Amino acid sequence: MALALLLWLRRPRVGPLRTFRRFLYKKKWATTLPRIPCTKLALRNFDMNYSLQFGDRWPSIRIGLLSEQKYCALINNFAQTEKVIQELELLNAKDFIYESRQRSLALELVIAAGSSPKDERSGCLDVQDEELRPDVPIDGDGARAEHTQTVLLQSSFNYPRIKCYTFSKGDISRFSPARLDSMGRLSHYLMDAASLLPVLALDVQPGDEVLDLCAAPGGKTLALLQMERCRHLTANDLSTSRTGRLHRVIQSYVPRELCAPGSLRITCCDGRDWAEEESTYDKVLVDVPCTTDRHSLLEEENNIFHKMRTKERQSLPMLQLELLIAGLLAAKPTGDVVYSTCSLSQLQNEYVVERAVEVLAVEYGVNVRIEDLSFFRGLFQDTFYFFDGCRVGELVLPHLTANFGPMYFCKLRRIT
Amino acid sequence: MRLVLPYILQPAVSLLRLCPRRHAACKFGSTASAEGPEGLFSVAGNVRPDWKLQDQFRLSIAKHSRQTSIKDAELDKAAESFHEMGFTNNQIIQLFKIQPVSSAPTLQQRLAIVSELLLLNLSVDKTLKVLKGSPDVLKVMTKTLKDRVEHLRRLGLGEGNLQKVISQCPTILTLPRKSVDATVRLLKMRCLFSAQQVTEILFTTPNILHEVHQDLEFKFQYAYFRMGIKQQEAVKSRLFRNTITEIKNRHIFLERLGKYQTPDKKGQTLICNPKFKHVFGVSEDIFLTKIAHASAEEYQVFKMLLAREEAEEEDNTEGTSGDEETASDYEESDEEEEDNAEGTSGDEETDSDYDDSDDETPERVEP
Repeated sequence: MALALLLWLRRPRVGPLRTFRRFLYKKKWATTLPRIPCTKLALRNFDMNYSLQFGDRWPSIRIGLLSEQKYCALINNFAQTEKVIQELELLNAKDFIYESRQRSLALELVIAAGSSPKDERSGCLDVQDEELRPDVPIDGDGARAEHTQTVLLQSSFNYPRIKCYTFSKGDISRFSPARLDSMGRLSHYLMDAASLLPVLALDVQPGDEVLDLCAAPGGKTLALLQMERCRHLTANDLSTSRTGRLHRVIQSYVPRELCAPGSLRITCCDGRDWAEEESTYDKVLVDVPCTTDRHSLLEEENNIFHKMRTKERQSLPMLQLELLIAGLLAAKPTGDVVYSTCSLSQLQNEYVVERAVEVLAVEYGVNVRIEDLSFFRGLFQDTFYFFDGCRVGELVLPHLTANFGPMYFCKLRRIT
Repeated sequence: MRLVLPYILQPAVSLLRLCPRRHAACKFGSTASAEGPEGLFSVAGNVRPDWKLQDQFRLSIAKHSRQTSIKDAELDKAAESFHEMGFTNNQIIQLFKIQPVSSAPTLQQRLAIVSELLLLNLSVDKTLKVLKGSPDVLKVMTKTLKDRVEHLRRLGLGEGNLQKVISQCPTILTLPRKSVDATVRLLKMRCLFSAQQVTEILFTTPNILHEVHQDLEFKFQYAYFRMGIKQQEAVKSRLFRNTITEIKNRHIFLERLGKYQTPDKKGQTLICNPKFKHVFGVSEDIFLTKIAHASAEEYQVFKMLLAREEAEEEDNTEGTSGDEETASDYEESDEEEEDNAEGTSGDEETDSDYDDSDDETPERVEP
């Protein structure tokens, strides 16, 4: 007994930082440790696939992916914005949505005047942009008609109330982190500017019922809320931790009235089973999980290219297909769906879209039309580099001078 | 007048015996050897400088020099001697204008050094260029200068090469023997270059003698370990001509473009690396168009980005890792962050506190 007491006394005190001996273990290093880091595996994979897909352009995309990403500052309209905007303009940042609108307006004026305008655009990757160029041939009536049509298409594009500041091409300055204003809301949200394009492509009209199928971490959802056009927004994500993060983002940016259950609902279920309410939404944003090219090249943690996640990675296109089908089924007839990924891979982009259209027509009898978004290229070519080889949809390529993306987006309209 | 002569003549006479008379510009030697000390005067008489010229000499020398009392006769003599060495009036004025930073050399010293340089088989133009490039050479004693040159010869810089090196990098003559030795030792012992390679390095890039040893060694180690360049290749590619930033810029630029891979221990790579001399031995334009196939804009942006990355890396290694909070603000990528449930609920509570305070001031919600 006394001995036991003595032992008890002699036992070292266990502080909060001390680990028990039973928790100590010897790290195995010989066989189980991965020899090649996941980022390297990812790079090897991309080198193999994308050099075929992009050819000569791959090196410039590659260096973009491996270098520091550019951000944009999405201004929080619900906070006090004047000061932030002033500061950002002092930094020489520009609201790229506003700028592109000004430019297209100026273009229209020139067209209306009938004079042949100077071609001010240059240094862009896209070739198909020709149809958008304002050089009107003197004798070609057909071309003129077609041209005015595209301009009309541009002007019909409804610019939402989103202010998003970026630095111009070649400028590598950074934004300061967001601060709280007097109401306790953050002034701006830093995100990849290319992630705004799917939201803009969704073209939400006032009074729309909107569904964001894979919402976390919340950048796109926040942009949707900033528009203040949705009658009701449903944000869904599979994992609890991610919806938790979504909650936090929204709470620190949006006033409580707008987060009320009447206007915003955050759910946490599998997007593939979104059969509970079929054909109810006007707009659906399907921002699917993908190989997240930029992230897998830089972060070792949670990398999808880990050996143990090979199955998961290989089944991604399937998951994406199912999610897109679920999204399309959730949309009303005449409703719009935007499918987006942040991957360059064709397998996850065009093939998924094409396959989804096919499957819906055959299995569900639902007709879907792929909408043309090529006017986006003309609008935002000063900010982004677009890829011109996509069969459907648009792809933003990373480039050192404008290091946004990669971001693929494609708009689909449900007809029946 | 005769009294002041000897000190001007003295180096000239000593020069006589050494001068190999290989170039025509060294009139001094040839005339002097033909006619002896008396001949000097006959030549000098032919080119007797007018007073205007002398004033100019005086002006050019007085501008910097603190010795105010240079006798006319001395100046005359010096000018004459320079004439005889093959300098024109204009060149003499230029020569007098060259002044080392702190101390002004005497005329005698100037004359001695110039003749020493001419002895090295440098032409008049080159001599002037060398002195312009490093005025401090004028401060060096003749004997030391000879010694240093001899040392360079011993390092393998033979005739022709030596002259090239000196005219390329005139400051090499101001370097003490010890520091040259130290650099050579560094190259041999720490970087494992052979003696022949060291000679070639000195010949192609004499500027490394001025570099800080640590930087030099780091440059080599970067090339050797990070890029997999062997010694022989390093010599051939003129690696040391570039600064370490330039080396890093070009290497990492190529690496991220996917056009360069560090060879493994067997020297194998998956892709074909470009030759090092095409990477480092060429101008930026050629590098971009021929090797990297990238635009100049991209490279400029990349250089800025890389500089920032490296600066931040240094900051991090110094131990200021306080930017986790800013990093969380930058997150938009779809990483699957597995927060534990407790953490999220805790955050929600704090956030709801915020919202309560919001409710008290509802008028200011709409901006």
